[in-house]
Amino acid sequence: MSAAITFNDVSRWYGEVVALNKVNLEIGSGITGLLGPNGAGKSTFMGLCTSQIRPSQGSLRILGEPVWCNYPLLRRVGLCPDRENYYEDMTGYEFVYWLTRCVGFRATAAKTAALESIERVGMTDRMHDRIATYSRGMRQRVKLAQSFAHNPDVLFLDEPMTGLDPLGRHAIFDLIRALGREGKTVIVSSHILYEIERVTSNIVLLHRGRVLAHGDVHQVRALIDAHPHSVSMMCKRPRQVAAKFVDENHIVSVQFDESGTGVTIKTRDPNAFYDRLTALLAEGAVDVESVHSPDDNLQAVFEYLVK
Amino acid sequence: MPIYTQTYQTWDARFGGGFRWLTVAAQELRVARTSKMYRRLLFLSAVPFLMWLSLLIVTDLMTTNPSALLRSAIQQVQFANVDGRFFRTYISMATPFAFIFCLLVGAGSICNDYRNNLLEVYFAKPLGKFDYFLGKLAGICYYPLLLTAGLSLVLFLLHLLFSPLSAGDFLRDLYWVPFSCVALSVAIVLPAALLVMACSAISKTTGLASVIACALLFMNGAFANALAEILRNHNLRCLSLIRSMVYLGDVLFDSRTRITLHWGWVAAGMTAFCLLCAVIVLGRIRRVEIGS
Repeated sequence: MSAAITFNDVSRWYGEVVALNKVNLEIGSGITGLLGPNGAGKSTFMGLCTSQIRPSQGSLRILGEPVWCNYPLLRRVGLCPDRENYYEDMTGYEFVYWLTRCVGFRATAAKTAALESIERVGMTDRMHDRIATYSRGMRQRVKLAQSFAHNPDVLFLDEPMTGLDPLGRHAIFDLIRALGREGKTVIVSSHILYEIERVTSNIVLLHRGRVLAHGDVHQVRALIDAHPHSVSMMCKRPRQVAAKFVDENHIVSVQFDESGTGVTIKTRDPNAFYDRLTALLAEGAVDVESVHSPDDNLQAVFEYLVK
Repeated sequence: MPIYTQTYQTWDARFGGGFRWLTVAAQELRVARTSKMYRRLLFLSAVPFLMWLSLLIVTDLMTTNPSALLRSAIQQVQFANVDGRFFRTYISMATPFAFIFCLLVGAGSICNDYRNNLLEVYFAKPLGKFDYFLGKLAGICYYPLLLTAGLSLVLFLLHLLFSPLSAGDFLRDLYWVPFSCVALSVAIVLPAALLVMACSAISKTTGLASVIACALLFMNGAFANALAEILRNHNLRCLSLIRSMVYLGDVLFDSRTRITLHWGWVAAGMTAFCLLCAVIVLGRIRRVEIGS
């Protein structure tokens, strides 16, 4: 069975800047997360897949067909770009309807498709208001609606959660999962690992135009845990807190803040660390105001992997 | 089921015809119609037509009327003679409006799409660069062509209805007028629309595109006139876009002119100008696709 998206030695460069470098990938149907920090090549990846950018080298196929200027194929592809793309004086409905007409739908079919997709993103109540009056989250939903209104087989969502509130994110997560269950190939790009984890376990990690990792998200997380995991805690007596941990074998280093109200502990076993911390807090043995992981983000993961 | 073993859903949507550029054109007009200035100009641009319509009806009815006194009075009025010149004059009256419409609709046509990042959305749909270009051009030319060619043809048909001459005699005398009206309208509207589109493609804002288009038109005219005066050669006035349009109008409506250059050269020059503008627009569209 052929993959929905096939990159065969694809490179794309702008002058001397290499945006994608010899990418070889096969992506099947279902949801795939496209991860990478800013400048990793995610937008170039999306641009190549939607025939907006031509590969400088190599070949790219979607649903078994070459992509560049393949207009029949583009009818089967949807894109939700990361940038704002609106006519402010249009209503949300007009925007979705008009772009569905651009795909080639007749007026009646476009109307039905636009109404259905707007309903799926929960914008029916406000669809006849001007886009200029929409919040950022509403704009994002309308942009999302236009991307799948024409029932594409392959859907590219570039940072679809941008600007959405927690409730909105939850709804969009559900929607993306539903689209995946329908058998569509959904590529969701984000630089936030957490967002991707909510919708899929299959990811492609891009860094400096190269595919750094491709596969199940838990395998990638395992790579993170192979490196010392930093945990910063704000507390009134940081030395007392540190003393409770230093005798643990998995602790690598302890560093105190200059302000005297914080401590950063590096551990090779974050699960054991958090178990111990929870126990100490339950006993009342330590007084911790806040806990956060400064390296629990994709940028840190990339740094580890690149090093 | 693991995602690698799933297949994709069969695509079963139904699509319309291949004229997707019409959607772009309709969108262009829709955007234009939201402008108050555009709506006011629509009413204002009807004034020359209504004037000419009144003149035509009065003239035709009066010449049909047996009152010899009225008939001779009408015939003394130069514009009241409904001949090729009558329609040419109408188009000349409508031309400034056509230019303003081109500016109003066209100046923001491409630069606003850039500003709103809409090219990205357009080209993710099955729209080619040519669809986009043609749609934009059609949107810009629609009302100016309706105003010049469309309404002059309406005047012609009304004259056909009300003329005291029989339809056969009338058509034998003025059969060429509809073709000339359409040709002149195209010669006026198309270069103007393409010029404005090219200015929009190289500008960042609607205002800047309008200023560049107006400046190019006037500077081009001033340069051609100055050159013609310095070298004492009237034909050099055809270097001006506006003068070229006027000259083609003279040729099409068989009017007197001081220019002796063959009209084919002027038409070729205007075609080259249109092609240059189209290349600028298409080049710019391509560049944003690759560079985004």
